[in-house]
Amino acid sequence: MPRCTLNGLKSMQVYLPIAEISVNLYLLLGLGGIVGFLSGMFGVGGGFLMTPMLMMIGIPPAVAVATEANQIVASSVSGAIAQYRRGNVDVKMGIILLIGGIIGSVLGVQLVKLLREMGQIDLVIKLTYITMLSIIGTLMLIESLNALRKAEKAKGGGKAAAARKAGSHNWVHGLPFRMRFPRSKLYISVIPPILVGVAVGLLAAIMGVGGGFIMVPAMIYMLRMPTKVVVGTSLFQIGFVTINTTILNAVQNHTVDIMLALILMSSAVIGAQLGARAGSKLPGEQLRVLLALMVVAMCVKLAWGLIATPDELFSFAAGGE
Amino acid sequence: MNRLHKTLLGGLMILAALFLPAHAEKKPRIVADLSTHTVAVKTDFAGTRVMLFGALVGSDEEGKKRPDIIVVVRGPSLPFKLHRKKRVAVIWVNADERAFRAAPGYYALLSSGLLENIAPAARLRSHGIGFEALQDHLLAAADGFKSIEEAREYARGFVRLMKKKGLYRVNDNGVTMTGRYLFRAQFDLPANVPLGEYEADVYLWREGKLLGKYSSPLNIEKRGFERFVYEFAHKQGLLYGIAAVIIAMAAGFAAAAVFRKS
Repeated sequence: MPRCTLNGLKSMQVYLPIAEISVNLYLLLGLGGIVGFLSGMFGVGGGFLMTPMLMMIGIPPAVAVATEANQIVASSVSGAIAQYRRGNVDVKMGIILLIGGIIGSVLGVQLVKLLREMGQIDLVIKLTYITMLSIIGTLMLIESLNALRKAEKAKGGGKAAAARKAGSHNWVHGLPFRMRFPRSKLYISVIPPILVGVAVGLLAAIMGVGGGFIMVPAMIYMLRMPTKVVVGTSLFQIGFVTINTTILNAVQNHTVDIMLALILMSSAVIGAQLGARAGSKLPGEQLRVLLALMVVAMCVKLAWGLIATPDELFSFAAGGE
Repeated sequence: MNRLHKTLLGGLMILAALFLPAHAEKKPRIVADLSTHTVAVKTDFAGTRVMLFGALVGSDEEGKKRPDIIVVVRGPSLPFKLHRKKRVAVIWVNADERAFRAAPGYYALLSSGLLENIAPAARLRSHGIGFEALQDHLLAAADGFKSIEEAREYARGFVRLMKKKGLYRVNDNGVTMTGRYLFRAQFDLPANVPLGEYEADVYLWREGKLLGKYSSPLNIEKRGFERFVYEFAHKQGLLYGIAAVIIAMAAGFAAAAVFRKS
């Protein structure tokens, strides 16, 4: 009977209790694995790739955003532990960033509520993505390509001239409330890291991402932290901020789908471990070029989505379905 | 639905049709039943197919023109909000938001032939059958529209979106007559089907006239683990959130531990 083949196909499908749809299991596992790999390699939560992908396969946006936060908890904890073992986490800096992150995410949740009532949350999410990604992507690409060129020149010259810009100072270093961060070899004011944390928490709540893609460049270019500790420290902060976001969403919106999160996690944690390994073997400058290219590509994709004439002018409003 | 079950059900219906008093001039009535009255949505739910079996009883059909049968399956009534995009500068923006207070979350229109051959469109519409009637229903439940024309555009857009999602469907080949007394219909419920109370209405037509109607309920609900998760999430949000975080952290720690060894 054809019933048998039907059952064979069915076993690949999994019904998600909170998203209330049925999705192909292998598709979810594949997505989780790829995004997890990138997450471990670059120290980004991967949410800015995963959240739009989940929406594309039909998960309601509210569920995608909330569940992604839950999944990022797993991949960032796993990634942070792997980085911690290599001595790549600046816990002191992480806690300062986290204080800002909690403030930011609480503010962000209020803002999301307001925008949702106005019916403009989707547009704001996309425009925020495009703005953030275009600025960061372009800056990173230029900067990392320059660094790559310098590193190559230095290799030719013999001595490592581009070792670290330890002596370089910017406005960040003139602020009060200075604190010593031995792991990062920094003595700077706590104001910039707290502000970075607030910005990341705010964006995390609006965009349903961990926020690593903004925090990593901010740590490198603004706080001047060594590239080595940047990845681990950002994973440390993301882990705690997403724990906060998951619980807030579960309480207020009932949009966390444990089933979906579990499936994504199971492949993402493995991907994150492999990614962390691959990352530690590749030189930092090349990693940054790769990340910059990825960010620019996502940005172009999103912008095109807003500019191109849509096939269907009507769409269901979030929560109205 | 196995074959034996099907045969038994069909046999019973023939018996019922034979033993009921058959007056020559009497209008036929319909009896019908669904292959299932409860669809349980479990982990491996990927949509399902439901069969409807029925028979004409109470009249002698020999020598008469074959009747036409229309089956309408309606899902639970739900509120819907729609956005329409407009171009602002270079980007497309959700400019307007309009709502329909109530629309069926699922709608399947099955018939034994082309609708225009069964009855005039206006008559079907006045009996609440078909997409034109559905649009009337939408317009009656429209909220915040500037004009009736605008509401019509939204209603058309809404039906288009629902068809694209597989939740609204038409099949003019969906009802099959077997002999003169028996018929069956089948409809697919996709995986994204909304949960709740459904109703399958069977309409019997002959020569453009409605002879009778029969309704059968269908319930789609979450079962087992799915139901547990759903209720936990909605009734114990904080505990659910904490559980979600603990699971995630455990997964993270486990992965880190496993990979440390290798």
